[in-house]
Amino acid sequence: MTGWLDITGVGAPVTVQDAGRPGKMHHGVPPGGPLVPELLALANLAVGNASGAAALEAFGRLELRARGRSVRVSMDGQAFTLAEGERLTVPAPESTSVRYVAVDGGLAVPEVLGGRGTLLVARLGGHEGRLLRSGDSLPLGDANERAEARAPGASLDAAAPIRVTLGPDNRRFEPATVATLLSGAFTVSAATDRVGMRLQGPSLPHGDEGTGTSRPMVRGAIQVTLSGTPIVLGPDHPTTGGYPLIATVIRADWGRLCARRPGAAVRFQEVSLEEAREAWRLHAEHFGVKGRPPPPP
Amino acid sequence: MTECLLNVDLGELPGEDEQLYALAHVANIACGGHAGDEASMRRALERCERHGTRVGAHPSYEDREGFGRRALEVTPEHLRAQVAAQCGRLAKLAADRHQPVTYAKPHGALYHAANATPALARAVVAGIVEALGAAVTFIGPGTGALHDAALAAGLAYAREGFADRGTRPDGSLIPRGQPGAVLTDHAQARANTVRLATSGGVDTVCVHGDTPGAVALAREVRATLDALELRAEPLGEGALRLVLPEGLERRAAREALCAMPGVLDAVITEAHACVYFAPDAPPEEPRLALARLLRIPAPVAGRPLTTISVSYDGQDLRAVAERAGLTEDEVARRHTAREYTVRCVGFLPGFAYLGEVDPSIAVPRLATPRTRVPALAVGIAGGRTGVYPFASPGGWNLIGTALDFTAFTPEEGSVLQLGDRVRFKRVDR
Repeated sequence: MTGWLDITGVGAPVTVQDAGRPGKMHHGVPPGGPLVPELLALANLAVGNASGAAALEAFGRLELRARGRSVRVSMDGQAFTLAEGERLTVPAPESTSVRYVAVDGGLAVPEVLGGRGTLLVARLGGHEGRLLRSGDSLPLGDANERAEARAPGASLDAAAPIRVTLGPDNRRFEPATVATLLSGAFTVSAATDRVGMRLQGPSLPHGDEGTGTSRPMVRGAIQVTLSGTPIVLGPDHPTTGGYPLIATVIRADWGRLCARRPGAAVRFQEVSLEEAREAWRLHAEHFGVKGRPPPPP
Repeated sequence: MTECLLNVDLGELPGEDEQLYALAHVANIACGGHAGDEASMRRALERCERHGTRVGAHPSYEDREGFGRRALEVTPEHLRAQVAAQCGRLAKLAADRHQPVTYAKPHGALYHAANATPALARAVVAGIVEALGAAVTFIGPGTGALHDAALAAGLAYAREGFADRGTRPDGSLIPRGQPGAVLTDHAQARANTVRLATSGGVDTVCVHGDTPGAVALAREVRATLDALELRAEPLGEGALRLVLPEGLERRAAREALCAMPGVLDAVITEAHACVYFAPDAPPEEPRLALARLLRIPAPVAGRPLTTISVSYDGQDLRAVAERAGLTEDEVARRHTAREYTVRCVGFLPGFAYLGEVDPSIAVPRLATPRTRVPALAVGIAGGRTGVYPFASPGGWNLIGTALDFTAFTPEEGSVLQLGDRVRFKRVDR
């Protein structure tokens, strides 16, 4: 029987997110995907979904109601049953930037360009391409598979350094500036969203005039503005940009960084490409958070 | 990495393909020992000049019947005189044309015999120096008597590998006449070239002009060497940014990259191409796809023309006109007067960078970007123009508004694609 998740109250931005839209950058469409892939995976696995199924990504408190069927719900990795018609208040995240609410069967919002996640800048995906509001109803998929509890382990360690590979534009910076990136104490700025995380801390000056010639970008790339402020590109980053990239956060640490709330401390540590690849292999094995392969072009 | 050069043995056969001169960095010109006469040397020199190919002398045992591939007994003193005479003939013809002879490489059986016998090696080097001076670069095996003799005589030395010859497991060449001695398979030759050029022990690779299919093979080898010269910069562990070579068709470049196994997406920007892949399954050498395209261009299909109606009512139109010293009408006229091509798609979903803008109205981007540009605003920034598909921050000079235009649909993605043609049409409303 068809089920629905009714949104009955929203305290901060909430969107639908899934594993993203890999392979669409040439349309100018960013990769999307969860800010914290680990938490989305834990939430989904706890109710028997594939790790990248569509779920709610909430920056704050959220009120829900199950309609049409009883629903297995999980907040991050904690699962319980919501009877048909029963209400649930999801508290605002406390230790992380966002929290994921997954339901068994996933959110069956339409797939657009290979993904179900909300892309605000293009007003597509999720529910009408926008932030959720009280009164919205989201269709549920068919319940499947078997639930499995997993723990995030050390992946979201709030004190651990964020690992980066240097470049590709690190040669545009003085060696001392690169050293500042690797030794400085940064904090997450309040001006942070799915497009990018701005960092406060020591300035990273560079002589780049900002000629505006657009270059390719990738999630995790640390671009440095003309005023020397580093911005770590998030899942909904512009696909091209003109600022130089001093370093790139390794994929295994995307969640570790994006889980940090405004004001949290960030330190960077350089690793080699080989170390980054090995870290990703271990990470993906543990969480099954590999992006789904895109359809053939 | 220093550049690895392609050298080709030329001027040996009647009717050889001039393409080989265009593909070679260095032409080793037969100078009468195993092949070649005055006419063939002149022709080879002309072709080198036409294609900017560096000239090398290619002396041999005097054995035209055996094409210089038979081992002969020649005393060092005789050999020195023969090599000097052969190189001297080429040097004289080159001097008449004011072309320098900058390389020298012994041919065939002499190459191998001299490398094994120090007295012969010294004779070859002495003959070359006598005819060409000590400023030539000697091309020869990585180690052996030739290397030692050339260095002792103060010559620069380019260590040679053979792109079109099979090797034994110990690295030595499979002798001619045995199976696998001569490679004609392109994939094998490419792999061989990458191995040689990145080994650190080879400065130049050789393709023999008389190998079957030599032109196609030389093209593959040259494209491979060109590729290894392109700059490739990791963008983290899941993407690689390549500097786009000049003259590459941008749409074909994207398609060639996307066709590589392991490439999940490819983006072309003004000066770069970027491939995206799974961190644990990077594609093999995407530079090869680009360099190959330079040498062997893919057929380019005609791209559709989109005409976009524009009301020239943008908030920066007056400032653009003032800066250009033109009327607003004239800015609009010049903006509509030419056809543009989509050079990149990016920044926002469906945002197409169109070029080239008429230089007289190509004003630079705003010093301070706006926090909000309305959807469908038409902007100019330097040599580029474009339509904002969505409301967003932006730093382009807004000169108008696109009417009845959709830049992006959820079903199809970007409406304008790399290489598409675009015109603007003025509509007053």
